[in-house]
Amino acid sequence: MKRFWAIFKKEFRQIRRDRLSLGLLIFVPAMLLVLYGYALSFDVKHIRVAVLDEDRTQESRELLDSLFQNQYFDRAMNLSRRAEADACLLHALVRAVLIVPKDYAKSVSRGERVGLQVLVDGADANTASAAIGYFDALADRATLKARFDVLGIAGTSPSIPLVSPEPRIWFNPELESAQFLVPGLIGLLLMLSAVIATSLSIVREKERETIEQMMVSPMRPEELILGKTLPYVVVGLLTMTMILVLGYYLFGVVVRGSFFLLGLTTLLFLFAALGMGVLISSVTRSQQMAFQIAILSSLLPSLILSGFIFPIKNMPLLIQWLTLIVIPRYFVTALRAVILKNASFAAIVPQLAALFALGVFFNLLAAHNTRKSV
Amino acid sequence: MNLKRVRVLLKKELSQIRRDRSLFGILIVAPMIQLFILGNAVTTDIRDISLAVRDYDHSYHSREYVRVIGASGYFQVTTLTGPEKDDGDLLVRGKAGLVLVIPTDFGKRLLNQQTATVQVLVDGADSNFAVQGLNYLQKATRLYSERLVRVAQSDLARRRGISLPTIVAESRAWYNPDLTSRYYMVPALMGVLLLVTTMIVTSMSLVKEREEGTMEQVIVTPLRPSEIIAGKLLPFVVIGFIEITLALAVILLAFRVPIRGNILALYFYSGLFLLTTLGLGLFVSTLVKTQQQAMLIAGFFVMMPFVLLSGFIFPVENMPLPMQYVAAFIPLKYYLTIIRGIFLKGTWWPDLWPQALALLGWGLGILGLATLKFHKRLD
Repeated sequence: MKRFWAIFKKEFRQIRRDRLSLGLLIFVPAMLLVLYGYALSFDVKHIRVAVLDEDRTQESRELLDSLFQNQYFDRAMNLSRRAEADACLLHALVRAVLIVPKDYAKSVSRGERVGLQVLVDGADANTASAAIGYFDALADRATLKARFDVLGIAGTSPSIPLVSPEPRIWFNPELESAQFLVPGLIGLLLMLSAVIATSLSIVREKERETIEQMMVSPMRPEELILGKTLPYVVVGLLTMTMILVLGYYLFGVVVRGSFFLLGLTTLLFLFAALGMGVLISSVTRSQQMAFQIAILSSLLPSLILSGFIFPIKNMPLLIQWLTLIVIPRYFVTALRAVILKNASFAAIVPQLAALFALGVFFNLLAAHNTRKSV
Repeated sequence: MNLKRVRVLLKKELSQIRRDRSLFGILIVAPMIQLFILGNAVTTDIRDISLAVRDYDHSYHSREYVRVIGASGYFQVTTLTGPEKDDGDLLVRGKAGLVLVIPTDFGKRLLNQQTATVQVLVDGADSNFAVQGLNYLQKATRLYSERLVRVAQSDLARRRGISLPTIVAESRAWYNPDLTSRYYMVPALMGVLLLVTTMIVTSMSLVKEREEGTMEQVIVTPLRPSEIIAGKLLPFVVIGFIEITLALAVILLAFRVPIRGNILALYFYSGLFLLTTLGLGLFVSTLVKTQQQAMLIAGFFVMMPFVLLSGFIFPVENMPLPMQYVAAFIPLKYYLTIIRGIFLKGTWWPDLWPQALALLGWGLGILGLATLKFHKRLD
């Protein structure tokens, strides 16, 4: 214990001396959270639409007016010929082109089926499918109105059987992206800072050949690793607190669950993430190499394989298995559950257990490797 | 700049890279493995949404409605039978993304030609998923409503001679008719990996020599700063182009992403992009004192913002206006526009000159800045 305390003190002193790194580790993640929380969103709104009205009747104008009376679509330009649609989409002047066909009003009054032509820039599939969904919903509403009109003119009671879903959105009723992004961003930022903090720790001592000095001391590798990681646990918890305070004041992200659970989750996550950093440090021979491995194994996997943005369920099976060792996967799931859903301890036990197991695994492997490398 | 001196330095750097076999493997092999794994994962197409149904009605209509939803192919439908107070727990645990509640009078209202509402509980914790899930449910519901209307319609036509109009949006997606998100994401992934790998090595290059104390030896040679920098960067230009070639092979052969534009143009623009990533790496290297600082700055101030704000995943046009101006300073944004344009839209390459100009300006600017900074530190 005393030995561990000595290395803990040594590491802490080293961190303190490198003011730049310490500042970066604590303040930068919080600062970046503000930036990204503000900038990023999946809300597909204000889609730029070009309109070609071939019908030019009262009815078609009314239809178009109703289309642009919401935040989803902006009428960006009016076309006069079909040929112009091409260039608009290619040069990304608009996201979609809406064509109202020539006999629109006549067909509606006759009770026929009318197709509005919608050309969507499908390159970005996610935005495109959201836009198509909005267009469908608007066509739906126009249909309903036209049918009631027809029935009204005929003097029949306007009764058509219809199923209408009434959505109630839980945990995030306004569907604000920030609510869903903040837990994911926390995972990404903390993972990156944890791995950056520790992945160079041992390899740096190897490069500077100070590791021999440590090895001739009576210290055991486990003690060395614990002493190297614990200071960063403190740093990580500070960062987390800062992020939550900023998330609350700037984005209104309220922690609905218990702070105790949140702390436990963060602690287990840091245990695993720092362990992975030390492991990288113990298997590499140069800092450059450690950096490369650390970034490749943390930055993009935390973003892409954690389920933060891309649903894990839709990935090929092999990749799904691979995500089992992606630490942020469990962290982000647990954070979302605690912060947004007020989940109980029992609901996140699988995630906590996985984090603990990965932590034990990475740390033991790191200790084993450190012993061997000397 | 003296080419002969540059060549000597180039030879030294190349043999250093060659000697470090593991570095070579990590520079070439690791990005390809990443491209393959991540390329398989970057799909936003949402399938098999788990939908739990609580049917209080148990009528012909409610059963048919659920059947139609199941047949739409978007959902994995499970029927709830346990106590209803557990329904919300399904959402909390993430066992279901949507819960559909069909009220008792559902079938009766439909038989009376009325509107029947159903309640849909949505897990909004993942807002992107929620929007898509709701869209699909609405689509399936529309299908069922249309079926009911057709029955009612024939009745109306027979008795009163009324025919009901229908307005549909016939959507066609250009450039990517099946809306395969992979076609959009995988080529962009190449740009991101190129940024990450080339920047990491260069951001550590100078500071490494300084930490190891070999910088002085380089400085006492008659090499000028611009020559040292050229010698440092050229090997990575070569490695960058090897990476691009391999990545293109993976994208075209393994992922079968169609390419509609000119592949040579892609190489040309990639060269311009390399200019910016290498320049940035070098610039970071002149700023810092230790390799850890280089890692922190490159990771937090370059790679992460570039990945998140370039439009790689989150469209730039969804950002608030001030952030769109910030994004305009990110070279990766221009490179992604170029790659996606060439792959998906078959953009004729001269149409991309604004992006090319931005990359060129950026690259020359940052390289100049790095050389200047390097120069100063020598004095």
